[in-house]
Amino acid sequence: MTTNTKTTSLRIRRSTVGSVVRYVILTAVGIFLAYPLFWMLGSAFKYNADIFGNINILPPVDRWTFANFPIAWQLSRSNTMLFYYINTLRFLIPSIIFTVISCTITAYAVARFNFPGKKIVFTAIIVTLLMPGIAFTIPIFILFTNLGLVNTFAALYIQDIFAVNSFFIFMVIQFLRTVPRELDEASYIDGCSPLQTLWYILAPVLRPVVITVALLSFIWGMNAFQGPLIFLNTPERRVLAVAMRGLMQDEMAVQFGAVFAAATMALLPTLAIFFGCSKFFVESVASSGAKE
Amino acid sequence: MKKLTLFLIATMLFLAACTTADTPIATTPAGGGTTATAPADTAGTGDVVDTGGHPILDAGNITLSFSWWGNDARADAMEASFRLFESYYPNVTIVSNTGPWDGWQQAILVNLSAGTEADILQVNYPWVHNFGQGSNVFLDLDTVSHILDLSEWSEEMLNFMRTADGQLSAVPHGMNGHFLMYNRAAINELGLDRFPETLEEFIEFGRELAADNVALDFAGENRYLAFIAAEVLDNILHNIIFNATGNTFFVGNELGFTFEDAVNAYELFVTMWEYNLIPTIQQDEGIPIQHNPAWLDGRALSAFIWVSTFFVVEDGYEGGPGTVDDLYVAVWPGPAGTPGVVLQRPTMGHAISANTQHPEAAAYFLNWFYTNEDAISAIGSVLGLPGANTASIVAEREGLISGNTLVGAEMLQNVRSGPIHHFFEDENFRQPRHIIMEQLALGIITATEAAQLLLDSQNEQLANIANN
Amino acid sequence: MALQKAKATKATKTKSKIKKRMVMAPLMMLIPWFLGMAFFRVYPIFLSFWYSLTNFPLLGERTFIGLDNFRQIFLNDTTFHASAIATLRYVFFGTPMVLAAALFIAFVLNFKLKGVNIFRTAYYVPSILGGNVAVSILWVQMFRNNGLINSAINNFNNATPEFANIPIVFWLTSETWAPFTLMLLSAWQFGSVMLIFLAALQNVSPSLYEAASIDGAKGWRQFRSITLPIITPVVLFNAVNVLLRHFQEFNSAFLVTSGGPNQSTLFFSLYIYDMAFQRLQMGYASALTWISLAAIGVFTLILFFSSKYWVHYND
Repeated sequence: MTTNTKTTSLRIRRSTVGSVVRYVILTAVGIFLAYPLFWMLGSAFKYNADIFGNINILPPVDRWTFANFPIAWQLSRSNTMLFYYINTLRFLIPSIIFTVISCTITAYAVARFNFPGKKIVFTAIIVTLLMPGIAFTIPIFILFTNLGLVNTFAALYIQDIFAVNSFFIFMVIQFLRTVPRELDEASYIDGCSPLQTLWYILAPVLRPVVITVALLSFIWGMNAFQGPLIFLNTPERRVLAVAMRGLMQDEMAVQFGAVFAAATMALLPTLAIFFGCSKFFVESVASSGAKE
Repeated sequence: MKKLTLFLIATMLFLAACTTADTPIATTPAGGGTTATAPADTAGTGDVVDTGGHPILDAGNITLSFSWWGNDARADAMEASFRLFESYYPNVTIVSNTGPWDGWQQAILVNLSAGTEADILQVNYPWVHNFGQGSNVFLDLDTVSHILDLSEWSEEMLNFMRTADGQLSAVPHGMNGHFLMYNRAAINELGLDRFPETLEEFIEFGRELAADNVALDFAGENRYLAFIAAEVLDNILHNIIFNATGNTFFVGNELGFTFEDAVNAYELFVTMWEYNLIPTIQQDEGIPIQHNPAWLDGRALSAFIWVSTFFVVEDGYEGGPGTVDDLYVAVWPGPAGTPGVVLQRPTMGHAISANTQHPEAAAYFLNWFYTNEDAISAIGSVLGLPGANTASIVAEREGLISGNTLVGAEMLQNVRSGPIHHFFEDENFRQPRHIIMEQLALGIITATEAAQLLLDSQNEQLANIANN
Repeated sequence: MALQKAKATKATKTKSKIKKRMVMAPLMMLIPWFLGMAFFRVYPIFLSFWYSLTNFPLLGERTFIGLDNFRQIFLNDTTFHASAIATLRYVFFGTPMVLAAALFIAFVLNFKLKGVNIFRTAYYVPSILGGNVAVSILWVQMFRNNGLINSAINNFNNATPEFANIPIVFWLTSETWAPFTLMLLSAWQFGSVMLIFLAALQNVSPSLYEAASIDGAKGWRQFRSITLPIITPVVLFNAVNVLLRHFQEFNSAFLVTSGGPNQSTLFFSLYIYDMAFQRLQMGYASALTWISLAAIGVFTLILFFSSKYWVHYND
């Protein structure tokens, strides 16, 4: 127990009871939250009948199967999961790089400078946060068609060059507010240009939020389904999320165990990266709520 | 500032590099003269084995794109047929645009809006009529009938694919019918020796069977005469109307039934739920029939399924009473003295883009696809029952379809059937019907109210169409 | 925003030069953003406004019909009314639910306990799983009528017939409960909201608590009278965030309930999607989009204006 040593025994007992209660609550909530993940993992070893029949995490003792993983790995007749994973990365990596750069620069400009129209820019960023994406689908597709982008991976990341993700801009702005201005001012006085300041002085400080933006882009990009489906229509450019939906839609009897095995394998890299970066992640998400 | 400019330029360059690296293969922008240059001899019928080429295909190297949705089995078959064509005509390359059915309609719509659709498209039946609201958005296939032999299809089948303005949007691959599949072993297990043949028997059987059913079946003991998923109740409604009136749901641009017919139909649903011969909304867990415990345990004596998915149910049937051989196909029963009925619609069709630069080559390919025996064998049954003349002859001869699917195919020819009107699958008509059915099932409205709502909502849409 | 005024530096010589650069540089840096805004946001949204004034069957002829779409939506469209009710119910009840759940967990986590970091990270996992196909299957498994939750209730009732008879609920097939089930699904993904609350709680100065405990305020009272007022700005921030998310909710209704039963979970975005890509009425869908945009704007503004009365700023 971490209470200070001067406390009376009564107090210690009360605080012990308190923290036991807290652990119980935390664990209960944790089970509730983590259950789906474990259910998915366990179901990767089940036959269909055991998936629909019950809600247990593990299959019955005598009904384990490992056949789902090879099926899931060979995601389609012609390609393995790795192929689709690489396809996903072919748009996701440029997308992440562009998002990070463009959103950081935009946020830096808005957060640290005074210029005419700044209020309007900030309002525009907020307003675009409110817009449902469905309003944009067809006009943007026609625009991309005219640019010759249909059936190219570029169609999925070209917008990111132009800092269209207001949520990330907002996140970086909020984080920048926690960084003392004296840092950049000192840098200007030393003769650095704004971009130099951003690169040499602020970038190291911004590391948590940059990692978070990259991580969230990655997570959302891995799950993205509609964009890849609409913009990429040849089999050699199919991405993981679309291929997995194909597995579920298979008109043959769907092997749900294989769907879960595929979902598990697709998720593992994401989870590994997430746990690796969780320190930065927690820090910068937390800062996005910093008051104005 | 200089650096910023440099950065922007670098960004643009990088972008340009990326986009050129991924140049789309097949899609060709709009424009393209669709008028034929010197329509060549119609040598395209029958088995084309002349690898020496064809006037239409001699124009040089051509790439045709073919868009379709479907699973792996379909992918194998489609690719095999494409490679076969390429081996006959080395100057032609066929590329696939493909994806899962989920969201595919949206993808096709967006592509059609932008004019980037493939040259040849696998189309769902309602698309032909709903896309562009009755005006043909695809190439009128009558304009290429000198290449694509339309006598392969009956006039009746082709009419499914004609839009309001009479143009032929697509050729149908075949017909699909919605049947009841009984489980003979489960029926015998109950001491019954036959299937219900009339509607009265159907209700009587079901009523006895479900006497002990409970609303929530934790023990897994409920029995149902027919397992009918909520989303296909609408097709049962179509069957009941057809049985009562002899009309399809819509006749021309009007409803094919009266208010009384609708009241009677909805009352029949109320009866079926009341006696629990089909599951109520609370009992229907939305589990696909081939995985559904009630079906696999033999507690559901029949299921209402499309002939095109028979093989799925058969393949998935393991455990439970009997074997796959005990599955038996029947039609939706009519009242005593009248025959039963099967709802029918085209499984899918094949259309040619109105924007294609190679309308004749595309038509030539389609003709080959439907008439070349090797192509037909390669496709097998992955696109459902073939309906074109040559294809069905070859399919039968080669045994490409068998078992219940074959039985279903024959029944489709001989049994009284309700071919649907294209309005029936238009979502503007379907969604209100779906809501009415749900409200009826939940007891929010009575059969009479449901009938009134049905007439109002369907007539409103009909009026909308008349106004446009 | 309050901190924007740059403090004058002591070096007067370089001052004017820096100042000039300080105006030009940000404008240059905003060029990509500006282009993106123009092409990918402003242009589509105005195009969609133009569509909303037309009858536009997708792929068909577009005809100008003025405000007919809006008239039809407000006066005749019962599905729109049902959809508005479903959306507003989800926003009004779901938003406080998510906020309360997140705040409660943040409150529990805000103590020096061993292993707190593990919990903190683990609690974020559902938010990662969010759009995964597996999740929708799982939720149906849990909440279907013979699913896990009802089975558990049933077993409990059977085991203790003398005093317990918890009623069984149709989680997904009753109009009353289906919206609630989707709210639960949303609350389950409280990750970022909770982390933001937690950070705010950790910033509350311990001296405030000490003063309070001398006055005898403990536990809940201490939380209500001291902690909560201090973190109200963060509550506002999270409220706006969750409100926006709930207004635009699509996935859960699409995958788990398909908008039913009887349209009780037919959220705006689902209705718009149906209108555009199932019923192919792009003009009508665009009008719905603009109405939903207006509604979101109005509710966000109301929240901001109301904040005068309940958000406390110290500085």
